[in-house]
Amino acid sequence: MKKVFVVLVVLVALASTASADTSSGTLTVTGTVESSISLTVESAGGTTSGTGTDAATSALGNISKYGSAPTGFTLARGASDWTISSTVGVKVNKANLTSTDYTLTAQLGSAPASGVTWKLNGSTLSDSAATTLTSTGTYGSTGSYSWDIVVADSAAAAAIDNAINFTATSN
Amino acid sequence: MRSFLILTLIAALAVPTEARGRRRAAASPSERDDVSITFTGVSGNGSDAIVDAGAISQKRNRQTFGVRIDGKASGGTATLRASLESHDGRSKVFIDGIVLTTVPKVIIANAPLGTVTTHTLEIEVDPTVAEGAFASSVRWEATTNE
Repeated sequence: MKKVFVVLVVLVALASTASADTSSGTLTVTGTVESSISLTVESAGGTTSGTGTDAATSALGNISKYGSAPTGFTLARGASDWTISSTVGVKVNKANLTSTDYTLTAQLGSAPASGVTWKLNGSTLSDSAATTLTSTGTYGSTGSYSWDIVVADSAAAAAIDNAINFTATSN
Repeated sequence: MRSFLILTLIAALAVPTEARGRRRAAASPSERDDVSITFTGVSGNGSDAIVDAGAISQKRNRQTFGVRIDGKASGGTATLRASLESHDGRSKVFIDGIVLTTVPKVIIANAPLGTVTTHTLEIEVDPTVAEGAFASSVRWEATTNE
């Protein structure tokens, strides 16, 4: 009987030392949600890269009046000029914003080469002022805008590189 | 001999009472704590810290911070759990990719005592949430592994 009693004491003692220690702390997280919109170029004629981002590139390669149209473009020959035509898809998303639509403008990054005209939605673009493409853009859907590059027969054979800068503003 | 055994029994039975006293949750470390939590890389002191994410407009805002668990036992480990103590419902809070709820979740099962472990806090805001302030309070609990 004594032996049993001693064993019981030892077990109780072991159980008491097996307890874990606990402590707690608090991490308070604060911040402010700001509204925002994003613009992505979803599609464009030419050999594109970076579509789905805000910095897409379209390579047209060598273009000429009597050659083939670049990938994704059509070619129309006029009496004194020629036009390659395609479309540009632009999507604007919103977050934490109550605005229901937006205004989209476009402007050339640099002056176009002499004899070359850039058009979006039928409007001629310049590097000095923005052209409004829509004032009722729908968030979350891709807007398709016609894109024309008109080259005069008198234009020098040279690179026509340029950039189209799109700007979306929530209404 | 009988007196010795009785004294031994009394002493042994007294130990669990003390142990229950040590197994407590403390809002901040004190001299009586056998284990404590300290945040590093964030504002505030000791076990009560603040992360101000500032103005955020991205879907997820991320930042890292450290947690150090100190205990009397050297070379031991602890289990670190986190849960939402208060929440305004305007954001989701993730620790190391684990979304927090009011139910404590294990963030790290074997955190070495006395060592800072690095964790990532992510705040996810749904695009439909209106502009404005948000706040959440994350409760951390460290329990030593025996």
